[in-house]
Amino acid sequence: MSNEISTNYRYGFRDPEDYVFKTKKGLSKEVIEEISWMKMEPEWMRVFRLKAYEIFISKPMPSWGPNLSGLDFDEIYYYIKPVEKEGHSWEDIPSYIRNTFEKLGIPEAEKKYLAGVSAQYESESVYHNLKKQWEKQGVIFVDTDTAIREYPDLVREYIGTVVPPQDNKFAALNSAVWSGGSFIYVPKGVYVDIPLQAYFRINAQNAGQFERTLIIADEGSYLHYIEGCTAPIYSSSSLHSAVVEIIVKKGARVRYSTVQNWSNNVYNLVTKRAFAYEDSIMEWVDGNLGSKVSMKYPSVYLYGKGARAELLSIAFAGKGQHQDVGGKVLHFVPYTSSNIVSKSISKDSGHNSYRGLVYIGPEAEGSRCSVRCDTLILDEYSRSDTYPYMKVRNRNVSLSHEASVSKIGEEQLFYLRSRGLDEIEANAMVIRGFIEPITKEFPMEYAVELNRLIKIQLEGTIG
Amino acid sequence: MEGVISLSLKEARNCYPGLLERYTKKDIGVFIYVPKDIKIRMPYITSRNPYTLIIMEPDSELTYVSENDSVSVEAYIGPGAHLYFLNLSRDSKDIYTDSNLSFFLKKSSICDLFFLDLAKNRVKRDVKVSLLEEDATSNIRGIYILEGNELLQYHILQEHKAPFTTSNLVYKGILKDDTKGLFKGEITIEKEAVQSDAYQANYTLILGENASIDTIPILEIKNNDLKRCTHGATVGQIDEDILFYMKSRGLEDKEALKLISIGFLEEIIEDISSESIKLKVLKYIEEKLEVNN
Amino acid sequence: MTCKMYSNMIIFIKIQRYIKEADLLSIEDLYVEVEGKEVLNGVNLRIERGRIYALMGPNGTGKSTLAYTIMGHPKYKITKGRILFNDRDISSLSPTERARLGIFLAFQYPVGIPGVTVASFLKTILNIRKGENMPLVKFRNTLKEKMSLLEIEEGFERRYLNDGFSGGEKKKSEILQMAMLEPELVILDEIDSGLDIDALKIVSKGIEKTFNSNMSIIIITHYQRVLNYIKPDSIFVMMDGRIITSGGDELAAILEERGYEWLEGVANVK
Repeated sequence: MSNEISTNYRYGFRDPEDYVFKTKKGLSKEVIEEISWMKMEPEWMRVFRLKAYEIFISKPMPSWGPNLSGLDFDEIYYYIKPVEKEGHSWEDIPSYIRNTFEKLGIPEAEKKYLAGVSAQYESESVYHNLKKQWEKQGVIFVDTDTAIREYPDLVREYIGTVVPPQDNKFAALNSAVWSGGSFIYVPKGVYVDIPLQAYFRINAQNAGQFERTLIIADEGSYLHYIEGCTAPIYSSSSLHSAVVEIIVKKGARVRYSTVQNWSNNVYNLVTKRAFAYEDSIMEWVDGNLGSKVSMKYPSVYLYGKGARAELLSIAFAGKGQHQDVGGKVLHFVPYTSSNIVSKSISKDSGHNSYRGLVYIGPEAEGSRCSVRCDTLILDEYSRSDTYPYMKVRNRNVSLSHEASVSKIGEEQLFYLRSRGLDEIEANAMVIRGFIEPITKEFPMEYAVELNRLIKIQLEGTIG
Repeated sequence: MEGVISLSLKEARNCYPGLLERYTKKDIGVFIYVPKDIKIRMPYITSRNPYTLIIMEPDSELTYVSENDSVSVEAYIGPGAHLYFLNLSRDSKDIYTDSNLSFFLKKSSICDLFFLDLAKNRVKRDVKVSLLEEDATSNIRGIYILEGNELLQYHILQEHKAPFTTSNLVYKGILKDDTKGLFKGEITIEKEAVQSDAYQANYTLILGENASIDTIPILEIKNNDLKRCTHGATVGQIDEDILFYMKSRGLEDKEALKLISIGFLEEIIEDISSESIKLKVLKYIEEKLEVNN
Repeated sequence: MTCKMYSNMIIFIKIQRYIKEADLLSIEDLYVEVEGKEVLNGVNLRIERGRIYALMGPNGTGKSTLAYTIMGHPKYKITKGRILFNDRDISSLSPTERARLGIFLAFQYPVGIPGVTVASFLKTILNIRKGENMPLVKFRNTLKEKMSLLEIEEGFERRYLNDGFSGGEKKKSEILQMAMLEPELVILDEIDSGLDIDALKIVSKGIEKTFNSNMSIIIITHYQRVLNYIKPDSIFVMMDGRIITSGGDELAAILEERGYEWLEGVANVK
């Protein structure tokens, strides 16, 4: 069964380029110049990067949130050209990751790809067929580097408008050293019926480090974009700082689903934001399973009347992990609505924090927002915090917020065990039910793997 | 006021050598002391507002009512003791008032706090309740009604530092005109505080065109063996259907609004145990709702 | 019939008589403690396969305790005696293991599992009982069949297990599980509580339709009412943590007429 699952969400990608390049460790103006030069970028992008670098240097580290002291900016390689493989061998991969692959039943070739060992993956023909279909509809789906070359005007118009480099230190960093990521443009009225996936065009080694994604959904269009996968991704790079900017124009709808399961040496600090215009819908569906520290607050700025935002997230924090995640919705105009559901699970001294902001501005007459954040703490060593900020500046609105913290009940466990489930199965079932409002929004293959992965995580602790 | 000992701090240092040192180094202020097993029936009412140190010995009981805008209180509630603390604030001479209240609860003690804020001007209140020992309970109820340019900032922290402790907070506010409210309600549950029961709810009714509220209910939980831990917040306006119904029964806008507002606050007013104080609170609220509609 | 065949038949019949029908469940001198307090004081009970029993007694005498002990609830500690299921001592087995052996307890207040539908729950526990992954089509058909047998309306299986269910719905949900699992020993804990006459009739009919000769059912109740709809083969009465008497139909009638106080005298004498 897993074979089908894997091919459903992994397709082919490009031929590697011919030469090999890697900048020296650490960050400096020279490194940025080199990156831009290697990519043969137009002047305006070079300038964009350099300006962002100045901003990065001038900003301090955030004074709130998880402990980032383990991050050493000088020890990181900020740009590694795709094909230049460092030649990881399968044996280099930590055993807990190898074991997970075994349990998920992922085939050989795939295992190596995910582990960053293999540079290429078959199934190019599937990819090319899909590409033809999109071209007919006028859908643009390329990696961001290519977009700069082939659609410079379009990119230039929108890049940095939703997440400007000044926004925060890591957005500035990304703006300076970004590489890879997706650029998607969906023309007016076009409905893209199969979900577009990051793996359609990704190159393994460069995967996710400083991706810059820009999605423009023109009026009345529909797109579902999926990034990531449930199987653990081993990354030798300890810092992943991506930026995702989305513009949802009038009447359009975009759903952006992510499942992140980075290995537990990774600092995953991401800025994701969408501007939603009149009568549009923006949905962020987020699964956070891995990484050492994640700071991710997908946001929607509701700029058009009648716009709607949905933020659904699951966070799983195990040993040594701190998931500091949540979401932001800002209502600027009338009759906008938002719904935030956050479910987090902590075990094994894992630490979950929900950080959210709901802002309802003075002009946002008739707006509605509901927030629900629930935490399940599985054992006495783990921890959960909730920091919800709600700012209401107009009276004709309604806002409700509910949060609860609980553990799996003894009586629930006994009931399930009396039906033949063992302890792990019983815990897994309760957790499955706990996150169900969100997993039902993922494509089925993801939901199935998500549930299996959670069961595997539980086996690690219990039994 | 039989039984309650009320002295200035200076005098207290003389009468009770060694006692004060355990709690405070301050020199200026009032010392309120309730000896062991003494249960004061009559509420102790004051409208002076210096720094006040309240020490309650085991199994004592006291109702303390202060009618002040700014309050500075530290209360140490001994095992089995019960403190009812009410602060009714209606008027403010100063533009900015700041209040600091701390309550420290020992084994099986209870504190019932009630805050009525109808104050003029800009008010900031910092309240901390530390449930230090087993079976301590804290109940906090609050009402605020702001109008004109008034500003109110509340920061309430309830810390569970021992097992089987209970905290229960319900706050209701009405914001008219151009008022601003900020309500930050924090609940922290330490690792040792197993089987804690924590509940917090905050409801805001916005009536004013330009009124605004920031509500921040924070939870920091460090153990999973809890009896209950939930919080909720809602912000809304008057239900149009209810307003229409009232008007269709002949009530004018103003009257309808007043009735609805009192209905909104009713559940908290009901909770006040002392009848005389309940009536007083109701009177103050009605007066506030009367003016300036 | 030849002589040889005849004598074989005689031998066959004799052997049959010697193969004693093993008791499905046998409780031997069972003492159980909860939080340091003794709640069962020497219970002896034998349940034969293919029969329906009623376990009656006033509230608080240990009926539910016995049920939970048989199911293996960790709160109940056996201090003396043992429980044999199909001749196997299950006293130290976990509830999971006991369920897998074929013991089923219909809870009086079944716990809700939000987010888990009735259908997906049934599929999971059925797979465990059968020891294999039942094909989806077969499962759906079986489910449909059992739901119509129990007069459960379509759509019920899409609701979240016991979440927001009325008293009657909770009972139906438990009986549906019983129907799907086809256990060997079924214990119904106060199946009649919270049900009106009509609901009780439907649930009782459902239980009867599900019953088969491979199964034994113990109906725990303190009202005689449910026994009008499901006729037990025997009735046990429990008091002060042990079984004080047993009997047939007539016992139920007497209890209905005279109440439990009458039996208290009997208990003291014993």
